Amino acid sequence: MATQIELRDIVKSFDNHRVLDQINLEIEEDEFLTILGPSGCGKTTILRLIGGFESPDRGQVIFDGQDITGLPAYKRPVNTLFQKYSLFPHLNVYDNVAFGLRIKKIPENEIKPRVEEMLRLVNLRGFENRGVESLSGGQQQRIAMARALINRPEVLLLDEPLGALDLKLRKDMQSELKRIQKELGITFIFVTHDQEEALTLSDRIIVLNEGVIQQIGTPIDIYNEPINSFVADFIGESNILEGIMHRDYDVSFSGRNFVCVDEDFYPDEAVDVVIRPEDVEIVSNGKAQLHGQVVSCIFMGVHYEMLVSTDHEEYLIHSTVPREIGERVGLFIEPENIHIMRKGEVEGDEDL
Amino acid sequence: MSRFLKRLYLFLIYGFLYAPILVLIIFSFNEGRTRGSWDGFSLVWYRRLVRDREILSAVYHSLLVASISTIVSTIIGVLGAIGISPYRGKLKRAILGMNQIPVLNPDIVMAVGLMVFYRSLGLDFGLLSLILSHIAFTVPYVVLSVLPKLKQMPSSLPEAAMDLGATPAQTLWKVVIPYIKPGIISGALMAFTLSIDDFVISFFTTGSGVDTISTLVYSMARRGINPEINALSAIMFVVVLLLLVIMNLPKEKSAQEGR
Ligand SMILES: Nc1ncnc2c1ncn2[C@@H]1O[C@H](COP(=O)(O)OP(=O)(O)O)[C@@H](O)[C@H]1O
Ligand SMILES: [Mg+2]
Repeated sequence: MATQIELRDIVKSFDNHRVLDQINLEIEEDEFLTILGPSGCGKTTILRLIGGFESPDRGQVIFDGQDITGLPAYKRPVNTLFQKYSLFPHLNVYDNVAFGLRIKKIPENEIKPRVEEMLRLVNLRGFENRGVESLSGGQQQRIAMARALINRPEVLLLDEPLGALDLKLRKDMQSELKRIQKELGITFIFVTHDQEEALTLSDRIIVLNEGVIQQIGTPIDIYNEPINSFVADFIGESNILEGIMHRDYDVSFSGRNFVCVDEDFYPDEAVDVVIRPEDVEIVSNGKAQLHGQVVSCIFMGVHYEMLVSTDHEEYLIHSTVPREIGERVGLFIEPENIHIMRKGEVEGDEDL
Repeated sequence: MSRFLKRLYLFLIYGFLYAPILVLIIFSFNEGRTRGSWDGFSLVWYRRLVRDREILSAVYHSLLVASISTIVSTIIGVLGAIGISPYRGKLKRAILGMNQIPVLNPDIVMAVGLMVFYRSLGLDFGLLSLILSHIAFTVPYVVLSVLPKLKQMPSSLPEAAMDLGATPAQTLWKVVIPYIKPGIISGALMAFTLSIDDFVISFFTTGSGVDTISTLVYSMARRGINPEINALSAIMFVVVLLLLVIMNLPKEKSAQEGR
């Protein structure tokens, strides 16, 4: 795979507030890349820099080896699917979808089959003459998608396009997005704050927080090997504990020592210890490493979510077996389920 | 009882507002010269009116000035509003304030100001100065009627157009203008009615025999009672009424569509 878009040392501030800090990023041809992060972390700004709606204070945007930092939006070979409210209300569905081709002065007899092809792609054949305001939110987004894709862009930028839809519709649209991306074989750069959506759809995920790239990796990498406590917490609810890494494979937290599988830390380095709720086992007293009292127990559909308070902190635990509130239980954690993280480490730090 | 009083109150207010106009329209059909007595129905004043060269030329001037100044001030006002809309905060309030002053300012101040200004420039008083004045005082109204529409427009609309390859000029024509069209139309109609309606500014900034309807009516009224004025005023009232109806039509229609 070849690198298609590259962001080099991008810095962007609004009103003296640094929104993006030293963003370095390579986007491969035809991949489904997701930028994931909490609201306000700078996701949209990255997309707008690629789309040409903002220009960086410093750094470059490279497309196919060419510097396009100063190129206006209408000259860039990318198209955007906006969050919402982007269909032209004075045009019907057909004219909306045909907009880009008419700008390019493509003859009408060529436009017609392409509009039909696009409406078929997004499963909205027969909607040509409908006014856009008569469409549901999901239909509007699919028309917006057809309108963008008819230009055969090399890259499609998607800014939380499913954010305004209800859960069921969002699920349907997710699989449709994935299908369309596969079918057309184009690069998708997808922005979301929904970790589940990111994990389901992406080839690669970029986790962003406060304008800094935390981690880049496949969904599995990011889920299993979060680089720091922020990523761990954002990707899934986790127990994040203060710990000390004494030497290789030896860590202490919650008032006792544990065996773990991590190495290469400074002696007695302060670390974050991340343990997923499903990795804390409730065991009989003999095997237990920690003891605590059940504070709450809620049925979540597939599992029970429990809070167990030990001498030092509360553990969030997922288990298929419910326990009585007030019951004393023993806890056990396998060494490979104890994830040790350098404090504040982000992507690229290990190269220093 | 209180309901009856409320009705009566409303009736009196509207009666007070419309009685003069009603009287005027009735007497424009009066056979005789005096306003004191009714001498029978006749269209004589209307017939005289359409043969009166002075009046016809004033009507022509009024329509000419109103048309040209409406076109020019609509263009200026729309571009101005588009220019103002991206501003935020203090600067925006300052610019808008400056736009509002001519609206709130007494006409007479504007009129005398323009007169002095033209004189200092050495501009001849006539059709040109009249048109320039009308452009000057109608532009702010166009800006004010277009701005809310621009504010309503999500920024993703012009961005989507440019994203699809439209240049800024194409975006303006194909997306922005169609979106703000209702605002442009009501701004233009407002400019047109204000221009036809204006007396004070026209009176001070015209010259050398270029009369508009209102300046002519004024000088005719000074010369003595001429019932042609009644007929002319009645026609003007009906025309303005029609324009008002047209102006309010699209709004009602779009409100119904929105429901
Ligand atoms: N045009 C702008 N002017 C001022 N501040 C902005 C502008 N655009 C974004 N910001 C600020 O930049 C930060 C990042 O915004 P954004 O990229 O939209 O975040 P996200 O899409 O991740 O929610 C936010 O704090 C936002 O308030
Ligand atoms: Mg955003």
